[in-house]
Amino acid sequence: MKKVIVSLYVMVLTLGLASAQVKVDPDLPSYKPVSGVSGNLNSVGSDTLNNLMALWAEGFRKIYPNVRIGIEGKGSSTAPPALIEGTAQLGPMSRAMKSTELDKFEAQHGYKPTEIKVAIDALAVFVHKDNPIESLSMKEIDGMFSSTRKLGGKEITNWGDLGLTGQWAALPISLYGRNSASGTYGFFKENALAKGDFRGTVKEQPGSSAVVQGIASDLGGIGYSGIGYMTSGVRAVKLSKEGGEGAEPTSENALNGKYPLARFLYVYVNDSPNEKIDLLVKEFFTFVLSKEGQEIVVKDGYFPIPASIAKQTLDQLQ
Amino acid sequence: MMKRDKQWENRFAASKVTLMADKFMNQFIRAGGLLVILTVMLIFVFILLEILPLFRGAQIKELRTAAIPPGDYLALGVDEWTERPFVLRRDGRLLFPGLDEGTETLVPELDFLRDHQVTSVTYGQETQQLIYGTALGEFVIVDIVYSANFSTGSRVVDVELRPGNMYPLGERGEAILAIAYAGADRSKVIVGITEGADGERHLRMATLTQTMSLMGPGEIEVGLMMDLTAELPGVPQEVLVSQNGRSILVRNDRDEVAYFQFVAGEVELRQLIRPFEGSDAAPLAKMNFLFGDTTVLFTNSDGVSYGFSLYMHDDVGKMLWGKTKEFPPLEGAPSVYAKSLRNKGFLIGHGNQVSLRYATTASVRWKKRLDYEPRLAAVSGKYDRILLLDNQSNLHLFSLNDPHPEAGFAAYFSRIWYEGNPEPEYKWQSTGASDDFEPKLSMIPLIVGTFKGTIYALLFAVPIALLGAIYVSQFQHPKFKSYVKPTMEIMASLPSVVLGFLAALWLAPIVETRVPSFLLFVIAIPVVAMFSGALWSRLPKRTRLLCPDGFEFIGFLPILVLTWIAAWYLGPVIERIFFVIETDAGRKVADFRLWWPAVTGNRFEQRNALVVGFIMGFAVIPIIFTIAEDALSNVPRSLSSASLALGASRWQTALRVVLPTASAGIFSAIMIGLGRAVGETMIVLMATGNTPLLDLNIFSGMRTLSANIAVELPEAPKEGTLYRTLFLGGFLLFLMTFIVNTMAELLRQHLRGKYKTI
Repeated sequence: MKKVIVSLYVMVLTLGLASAQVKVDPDLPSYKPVSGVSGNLNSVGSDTLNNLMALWAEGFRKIYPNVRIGIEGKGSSTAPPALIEGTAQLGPMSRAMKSTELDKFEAQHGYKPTEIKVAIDALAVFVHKDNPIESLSMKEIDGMFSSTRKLGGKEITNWGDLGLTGQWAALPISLYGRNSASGTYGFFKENALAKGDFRGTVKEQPGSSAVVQGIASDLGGIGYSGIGYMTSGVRAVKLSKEGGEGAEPTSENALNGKYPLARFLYVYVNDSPNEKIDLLVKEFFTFVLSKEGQEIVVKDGYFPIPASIAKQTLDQLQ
Repeated sequence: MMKRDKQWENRFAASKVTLMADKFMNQFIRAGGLLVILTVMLIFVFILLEILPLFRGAQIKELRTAAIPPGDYLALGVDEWTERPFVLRRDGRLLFPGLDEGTETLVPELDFLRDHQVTSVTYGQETQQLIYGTALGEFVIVDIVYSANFSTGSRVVDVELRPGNMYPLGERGEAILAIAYAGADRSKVIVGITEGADGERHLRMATLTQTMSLMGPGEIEVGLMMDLTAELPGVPQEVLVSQNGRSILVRNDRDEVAYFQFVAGEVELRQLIRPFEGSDAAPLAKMNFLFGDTTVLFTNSDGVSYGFSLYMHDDVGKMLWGKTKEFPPLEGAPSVYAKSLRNKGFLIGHGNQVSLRYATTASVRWKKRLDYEPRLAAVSGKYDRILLLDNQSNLHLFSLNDPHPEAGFAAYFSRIWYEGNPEPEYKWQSTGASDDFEPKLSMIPLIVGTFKGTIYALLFAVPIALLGAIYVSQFQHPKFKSYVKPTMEIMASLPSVVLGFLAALWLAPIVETRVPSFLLFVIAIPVVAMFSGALWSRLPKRTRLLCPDGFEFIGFLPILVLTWIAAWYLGPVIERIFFVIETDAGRKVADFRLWWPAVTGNRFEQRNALVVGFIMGFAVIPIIFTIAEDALSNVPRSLSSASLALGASRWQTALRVVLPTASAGIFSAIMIGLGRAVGETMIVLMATGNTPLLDLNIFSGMRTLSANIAVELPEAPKEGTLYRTLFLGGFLLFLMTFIVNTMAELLRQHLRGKYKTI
């Protein structure tokens, strides 16, 4: 089932959305296959990165048919337990690990896990495709989603409060979000709600695609997920830090800091400082951070990382 | 003769094999039964073992003591592995004593301070930085960088001091008496109290800005420089700056604390806090942030200790500080304070008494009267060690084992005033993105959600299932029963994931736009059924006899379908007549979704209890139906035949004879249905938004205990607080079904006893 969805997804992307203007950094090296790569890899973690991991695995397996990669994506918070207990070698996460998680890893292994930046995401705020709202400020988002309103905005409960008129004026805002295991949930909480609390009325969906589906079938809906999950039923709203004209969730705006909810996507690995890293893991990341790997990122709707960061990251893995 | 007798006897005696088999089976079944009970008990014990640690306090043991050179020490800090603590002397010197015997004390040279006279120094636990203020009004931020070195095979902790540049605080070069600073990502805020040659105190502030993007940090520049003295009533004594750089708290000489808010380059005096009201209140002795810097702890010299939190005051529309916590009082003014960097715990002490407390529940996790008076304290970064420095310059190292400080009875079942919230609440929000998040673990919204889902499911399922069972067993022709029952049983075997998926993506959007139609179904179908029944009974007997007993429903089916269609299309009409509200522009809109919140004040959500009740009803109906139907069919035919022979009608027989006799079985059917609804997971998980609300509004969602376990277990680290809390949720479910089942069994026995005579 998942496979079918993924391949459908790829089809849709290659047909339509892949005409996106995003280009990978020309300085990124091409991937050069080496010999002797085989074995199993397990990945447990982020749902935001689920499709991307699947696509990378597919691309990687085209080069090394003897490699098997299992992918499970229930939320970023599932990655640290899996890495600690050794049930997975790769822990994709859409947020950085918390110190408590680092502590638990360190208590088990004696050293910290290695963080690898694999892509850039502009965490998008989606509304129903017919919704005329143009741009939102972080204060307005906080006023909608938060019960603590740490940014000091007013409470916003229907679309009229945001200046929409006509049939939209009295329409209540219906909030969608991710389950708390999700890194997207955590990132949104930290950056859009200034570490405040979500309202009890935010509908927690088990996956990014469920969020997008929910909004697409709910006229008053608004919710957040990684930009890679955008479909034709929803529209990503422009966001601004302090009000005024917002920034589109694009690669440039994510890199130059204009888009307020830009973030890295990570994969964590267990890399002992005393031992050489497993060849399979190393080659996987060399592939992910190569030109080919980052083209897959673009294909999936996320943004590629610059060559300088890719090199810096790869140097960590010896 | 004897032999014959014996043979005679043997003829009627059971064979040995039979007796043995009988004996064996007896024991075997008994053992099986005991095994079942044992297994259930073991599960119970396992769950109990998982949740018991949640209610345990902290365990603290002294590990060792190390003497350090005597001196006037200001602060005590520790690395994350608790191998190289340091003490900070009033003149700014740092000492890194080793905790193990034979490790030498490191005293790094502070070259960057060579030509400066240190007048104040503050240690920032979060950032592991020191900030020095000098007699000439300059400041410098120094990083204490600990690094773990694995080159020798085991971990060796190295320490290095990395000073930044000297910057001036204000233009006049006055001595800095107290200094505080916060290191938010882009701008660092430094606030200091300076004193000039004339003895006048000033409150000064400076910012250092650094551009930050995904590409990494850029250059540091001096941003603003401000003199805040004019805005502050009284003379400044002590300053605190929150980590995000937005809150500046200044204590003055009048026992007031001024709150300055710093946003977008503007400083504004927002509030003057008097933490201890009343003229006889003792003066404020200590103010400290708790981890996260959204709660500040004020303790006065009598030991009275209050927590103030920054939250939105809706009456004025501003974020202000307000009293949210009262802690058990100390015996006097606090002499030591240390906060945890993992949770809202803190260590506080007076004289020789110290206690470890947890702010969320205002509880004391541990307390002890020591043989010495501690002067400084530190809680390690991982919340696993405590260091105390006593007045004889001895360092005492303690191990701290407190895995679940945020748990406890109060955390689960009582109203708690969480940080940043305007009032005490029951709230479930277990995870945050950052370590300074305060977990909100109230079980109350989940219990309410469980009941809510169950009630709406049973409201829908019980009437349909019971009436269906009565009809099929008493009125319908027995020929149909062999079709109806298996069909219902197939319905029971529908996977609940499928039902949940249907509910979420197909039914919910339909119900949302057609609520009046669905309300009409509920009203119209019983009314039409009764009406057609009455009409049927008025028909001449000859007509009625044309239809054999138990086949009447075939005539009713078309009427039912017609009612259905009529209700579906009449719904929007009803909506246009009854559910009209006026929007702001004076326009009238007929929309139930807007009408419901406007009239009742409750929310209308697409994923709501109506949808869940409806679909969960589908899962419950077959169970109640089959068991109730069995119970009704098992009523001896002789009873109903006798009743009919005595001239009672079919309805009278069913209601007065069959139903009471089968009441015990019907009751079990409802209880088993209830059990299924309470434990149902996937439907609720998929069809509701999993919103942990505290209401019984039919048009809003819910989060049940079982769905909560399914949603959050994958992220819960084993043996962590959340993990055990989810087990507690399981335990509550267990308890709920246990109580319901026990009560049901007692009632069933009672009913059985009552109707045994019939």
